[in-house]
Amino acid sequence: MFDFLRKNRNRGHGNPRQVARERVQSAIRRDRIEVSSPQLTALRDSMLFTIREHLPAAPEFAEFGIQRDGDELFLISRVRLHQQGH
Amino acid sequence: MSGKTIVMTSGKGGVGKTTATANVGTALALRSNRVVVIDTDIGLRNLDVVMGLENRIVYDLVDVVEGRCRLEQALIRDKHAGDLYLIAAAQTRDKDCITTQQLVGLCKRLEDDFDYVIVDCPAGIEQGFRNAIAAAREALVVTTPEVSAIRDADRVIGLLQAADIREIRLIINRINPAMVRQGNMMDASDVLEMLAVDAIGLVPADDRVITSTNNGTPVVYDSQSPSGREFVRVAARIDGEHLTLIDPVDETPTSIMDKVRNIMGINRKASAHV
Repeated sequence: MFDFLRKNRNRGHGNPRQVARERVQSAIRRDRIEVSSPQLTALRDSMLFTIREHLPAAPEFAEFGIQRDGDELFLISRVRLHQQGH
Repeated sequence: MSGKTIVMTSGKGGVGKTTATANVGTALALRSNRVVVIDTDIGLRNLDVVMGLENRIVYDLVDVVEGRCRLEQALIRDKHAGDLYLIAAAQTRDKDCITTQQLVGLCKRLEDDFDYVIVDCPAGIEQGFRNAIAAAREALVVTTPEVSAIRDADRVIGLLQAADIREIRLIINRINPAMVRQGNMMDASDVLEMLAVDAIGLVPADDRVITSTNNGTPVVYDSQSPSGREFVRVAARIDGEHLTLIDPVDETPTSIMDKVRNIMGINRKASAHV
């Protein structure tokens, strides 16, 4: 009976168990994707090498890195392409 | 004899790793195994007090690896369990004073004489952690159902996998069944889903652990202790028995009659226990 009432009370204010679950999941997601600087450099070189096999890309990324947007992480890369005839 | 080295680790401190080491080690010895537990938390040793052996230390881990004593001289025999030994950490030395190679060499020597070599790892993921995991083939990660402990356990599991330790199992400690039922604490399934490793023990929160630690007697000797009974089952699972995991939330009595039965020692689920 009391458990039932407590559960309903918690539901109204955000269930602490659910809040904890979401916070851990978010923290773990970020931790797992954390890459070291040498790893990021290796990834950048490897990506650029692959792109240049298919497209006339500039020898450097215009932008490359990991960006956070709220709880989500994104790998951002911008590559300048040489236009045909230039 | 070719024993097995198991590291007990957690990442976060204060989750009950040393208590788990003492209890699992004792329970393995009570199953007629030859067991040695090694405290690698140099500068902050505690396994000796949990086991009630703090007054018997003459030589410690650093004395052995630096050759100031023979290995046999640093092995402290337990007061209760016949074939259980402790190698204590040095209390006065720097935590980085032993190398990975020295600890690996020591564990290899001990594996010749013991069934189980259990290494109690210091908190954190620095050199002490790297030393402690280096000799291990298996790891038991101790966590509690709390945000910080789970996060650190996840980090440690990643590092263990990177160190090529494939056998990683989880002990979820201090599960509070009442809080889980009220929706105030994550349950075992939440933790297991997030960490994605198998559990070997689901240990309920238990005041008797505090009493047993105060007395220097591991809680596995207390047959009335729910956590003690679970540590006994953990040891059985390590030893190869296939025992079903018992969630403390299902095991804890909820009705008044259940509580009365529990006080009288009439446990309806006794058949599921070791």
